[in-house]
Amino acid sequence: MALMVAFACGGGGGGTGGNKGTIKIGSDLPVCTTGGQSTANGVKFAVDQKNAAGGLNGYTFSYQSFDDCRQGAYSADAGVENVQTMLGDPKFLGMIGPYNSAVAKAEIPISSPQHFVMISPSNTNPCLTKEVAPPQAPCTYHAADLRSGNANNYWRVVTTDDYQGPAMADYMYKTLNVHNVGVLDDSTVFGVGISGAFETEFKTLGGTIAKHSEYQKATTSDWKSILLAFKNAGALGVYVGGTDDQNICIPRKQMKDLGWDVPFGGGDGIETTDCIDQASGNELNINATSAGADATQIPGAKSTIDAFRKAFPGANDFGGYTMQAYDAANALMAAIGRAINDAGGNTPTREQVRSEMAKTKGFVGVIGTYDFDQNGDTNLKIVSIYVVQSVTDPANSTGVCGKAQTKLCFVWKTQFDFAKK
Amino acid sequence: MSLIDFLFYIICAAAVILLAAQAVINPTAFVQITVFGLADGAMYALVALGYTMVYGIIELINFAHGDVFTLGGYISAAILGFFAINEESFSVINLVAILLVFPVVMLIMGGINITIERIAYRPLRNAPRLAPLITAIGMSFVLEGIMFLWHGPASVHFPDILPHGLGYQTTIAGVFVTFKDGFVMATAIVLVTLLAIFINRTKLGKAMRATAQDRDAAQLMGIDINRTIAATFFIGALLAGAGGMIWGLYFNNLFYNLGFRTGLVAFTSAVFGGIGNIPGAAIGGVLIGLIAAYSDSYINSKWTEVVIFGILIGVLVFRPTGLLGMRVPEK
Amino acid sequence: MSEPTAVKRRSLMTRLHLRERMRDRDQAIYGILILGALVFPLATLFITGGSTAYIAQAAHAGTWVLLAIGLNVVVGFAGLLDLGYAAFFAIGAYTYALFASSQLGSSPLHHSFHFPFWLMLILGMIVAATFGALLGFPTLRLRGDYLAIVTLGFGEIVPVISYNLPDWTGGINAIGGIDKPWFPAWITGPWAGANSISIQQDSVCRNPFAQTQFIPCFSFGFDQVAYYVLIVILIFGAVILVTNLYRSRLGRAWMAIREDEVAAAAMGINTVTTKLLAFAIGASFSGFAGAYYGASFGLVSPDDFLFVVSITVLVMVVLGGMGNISGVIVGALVIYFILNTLLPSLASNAVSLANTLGLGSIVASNGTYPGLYNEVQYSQFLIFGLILVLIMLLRPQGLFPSRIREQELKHAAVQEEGSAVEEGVRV
Repeated sequence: MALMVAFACGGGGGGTGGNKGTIKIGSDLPVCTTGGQSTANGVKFAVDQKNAAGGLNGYTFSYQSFDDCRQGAYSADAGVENVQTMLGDPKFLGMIGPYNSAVAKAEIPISSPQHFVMISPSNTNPCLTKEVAPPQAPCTYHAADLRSGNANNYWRVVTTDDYQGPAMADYMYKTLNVHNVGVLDDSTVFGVGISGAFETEFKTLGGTIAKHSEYQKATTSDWKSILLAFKNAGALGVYVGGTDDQNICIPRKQMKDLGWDVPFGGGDGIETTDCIDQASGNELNINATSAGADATQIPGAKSTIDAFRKAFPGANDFGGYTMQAYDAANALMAAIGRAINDAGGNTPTREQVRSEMAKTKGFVGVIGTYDFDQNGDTNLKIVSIYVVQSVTDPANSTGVCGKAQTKLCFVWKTQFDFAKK
Repeated sequence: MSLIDFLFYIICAAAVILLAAQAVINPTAFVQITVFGLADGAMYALVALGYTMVYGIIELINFAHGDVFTLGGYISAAILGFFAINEESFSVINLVAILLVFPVVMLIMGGINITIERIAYRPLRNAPRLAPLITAIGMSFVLEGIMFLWHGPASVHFPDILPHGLGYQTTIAGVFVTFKDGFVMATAIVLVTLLAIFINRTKLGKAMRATAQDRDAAQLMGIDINRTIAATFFIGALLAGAGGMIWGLYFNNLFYNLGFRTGLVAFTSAVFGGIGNIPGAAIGGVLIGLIAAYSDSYINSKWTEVVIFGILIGVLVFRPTGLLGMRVPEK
Repeated sequence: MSEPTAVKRRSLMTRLHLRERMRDRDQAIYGILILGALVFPLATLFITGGSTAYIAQAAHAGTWVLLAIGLNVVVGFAGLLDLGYAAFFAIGAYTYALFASSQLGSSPLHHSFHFPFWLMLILGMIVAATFGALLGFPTLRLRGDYLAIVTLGFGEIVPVISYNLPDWTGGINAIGGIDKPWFPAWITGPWAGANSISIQQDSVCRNPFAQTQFIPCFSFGFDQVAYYVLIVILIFGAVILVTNLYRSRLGRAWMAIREDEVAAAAMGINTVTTKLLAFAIGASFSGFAGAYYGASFGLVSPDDFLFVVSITVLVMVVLGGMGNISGVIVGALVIYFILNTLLPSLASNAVSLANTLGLGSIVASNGTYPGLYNEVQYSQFLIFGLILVLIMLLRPQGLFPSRIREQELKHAAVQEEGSAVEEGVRV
């Protein structure tokens, strides 16, 4: 076995580990963005590691990264086409992704009749897996409809916006002492969902929502009129629901143009390099949540992160969801491994992989030990809070730093564990 | 006065009354929003001029024009990188950089647009009318592709070198005005005035007007049509290049497909003012900027797009020649 | 038909010569297309060992072919420029999605409808045509490019409205779980794909009639081969319909208006009605394609109907050869192939090419250079733009222009050379 590993490494890491053939794993991520690419790196790292260790039960894994970007931003259509391509190729037994909730909503109805396993490293819209509990606004679409009677084929390793939004509401209301905010969302599935969850919790805490506005990326480049309306309505803070590829952090820059210096918070869509770049000149003190524990805060994760950084040395190769993607890929490969045993050592069917994935219990990943409920949600319900600060050594922060301003990085502040509540 | 005219005036009056009501309720906010709208509108106007000139002379909706505008922003950001500019506070180097880069970028963009015209439009002058429209779309993709390749899909930082911060902003009766707002409007007014003088007073300007009116007659009078059309593209790109740089200086953010939507809005402005009509395009741009700002604040930003294009359709149905309506677009 | 028969006969005679020539080439194209449509699914199933991914792509391409055929009526036959064709596509797709899913159940109506696909196909057509007529009516009386600009505005407004009315259209959440087409009976055969698991009585058949015991329900489900067969039949029908329209009295009226509106009006053609008909018929094809798209894709989202879609269809029509149905079909397939197969696979092809040539050094990323894969991936726009410009420069009249137009253009060019004053026929 040792010889085999050495041979695999000598041969450039792959292709020779197994002799029964290859099993394909896909990923469907917006790799045109730094967030999407750094997540895909996590999958690639996991697959490369597995192959370097000799593959699994005699099989080698082959990884293909699909891009769901169209014109520089994620597109549900592109995602659906990618999934159709994977479904058409019987060698694909599962995929990591998608990155954006709107894409997942479009893909689940296609993949579920084929029992094709999808594990998302970053989808946080709650309605993809469950109905939200009051007082949160009810789901406008339903998990059961997406699956139309088929067994669940979708899992995620992060927690959901009905925790992520409230975490920032708590943080802004209690820690930052802001009791009146304007809410802005980018009109996407994710943005509308998370800003709604924030708004509900913020009101429950006793806060006031000065105004809630929406915009669309395609039509808005000047947010000053919107921000001014917030200011005039008495807002003392701004919460944004949206993602960087919808330009959600440019309003942060324009707040400075207005001479309006108040706290700015948002979800995991702004815990990115591109967000820091967009806020140019007003980067400091952007508050963001992330729907999982921070890998850099977990002692056991350090060796994996160090190994990753050796394999992917680029400044923006590591992102907020790299380790989540790494865990997701390993969970998928573990399920495939068990499914191979179910199939008597032969290539398993997609249904066998799906049912093994559903049985996953106590999977030990880098971020934590995962159990999944029947909806596909993880038991880990940790939300981390980050803030942009000036650091001396970016490597000691989360590693999510500006491209131009390399010393301005997201720094871990605190975390909320909703599983313990 | 026909029924249609009557309806048009009723709708206009209703809009004005609703706005006036808002102005009375909160005059400070109204003036503030007007300032934002004017600054945005000034930039739309600069882009709209290029559309209206090109349409006026060869009846082509130049889809690549919005991307010429964005490329102007990208190139000026790159050139500014060579200067030891100071983003924290205003310095003499910043002033020199701005004064130098403006004409340089304008000339570069003019050169690029002439090249585009030479390659993609001139060979098709006698081809079916839709052929140059497709090459315009193609050139738009090419320009966007260049910018995508250059800086990727994420937004690009434009150095914040205009005077900004506490010393360069003031509050007049509750209205917050920055140096940048004034700068954008002043520059746009200067550029549009220069253009008007050029079109009305120079020989080339006269040739352009003549060619727009009747190309064959102009040719008979000894006007070099190819040269005149190239000059139109050159001047349109001068303004678009300047517009791109102003946009960058004002917003400090650019992205590769910014020109697509800005171009569409600017084209709407041109139609709004009466396409082919130069003062019309400038006024149309300012009006669209104002309407967008009012809609963002008083209605909801998500309906702004519907408001703008609804007005476009309304104007064409009620007032086919646009607001100033001097030239009629006709085949 | 009050037209004197003598006039009609003469005009037919003069055209006969042209028609024969036109038929030769176009019949060859049709022949190749039909043969391709038959061989393609069998060949891919055989080569890929039962993978239906390519057939799914081909079925998707079929939607674009339908759109291009429809826009060709407006742009190619009648010479009207429509820059908002995607709006009618959206109207057709939403008509089907709303009345064949649970969407309206959660709307203020609180009642969901599940009309059968075959009925909605026709209804989608009628609704889109109605919108086309409503939009065209005030603007078609005017001349010139007004229609282009108004349709551009309309095309921008429709997706924004569907974004902004989430109670009705689902907004950004889109409408999913759309009913699949179904038959009361299904005949199995070689066209049923490898994973045709869903061609059976299953839960996807959400139809009130099918839920009774009397009519068994055989749904298309997710079988891509079934959709492929359906779209090929739909395109076949559309081509026959449009060809007949083109050869009819109406088709000749369109051509007359396209060439010279004043002369056409002087000859007694009611230009407004004729243009309106072209516009509405064009829109109806878009609505037809929209209903099919909703059923096959299973998801209708506002993002599917942006300006880019209108532009892409226009490019297909112009590039294929305006006015020539077979040319337009080829144009649609070529553009679809470039956009969905050639460009996305370019990056990995470039990498494997570089590796086989021994240029491994340019593949890896270093420093600011993102690596060959990313570099090529990022160049997709650029390459597509260059392809468009090049094809248009090389063949300004399109790949396979209609023979009649080709003659006119030659004629116009000769005229232009002859006298500088006389401006040629510029269509």
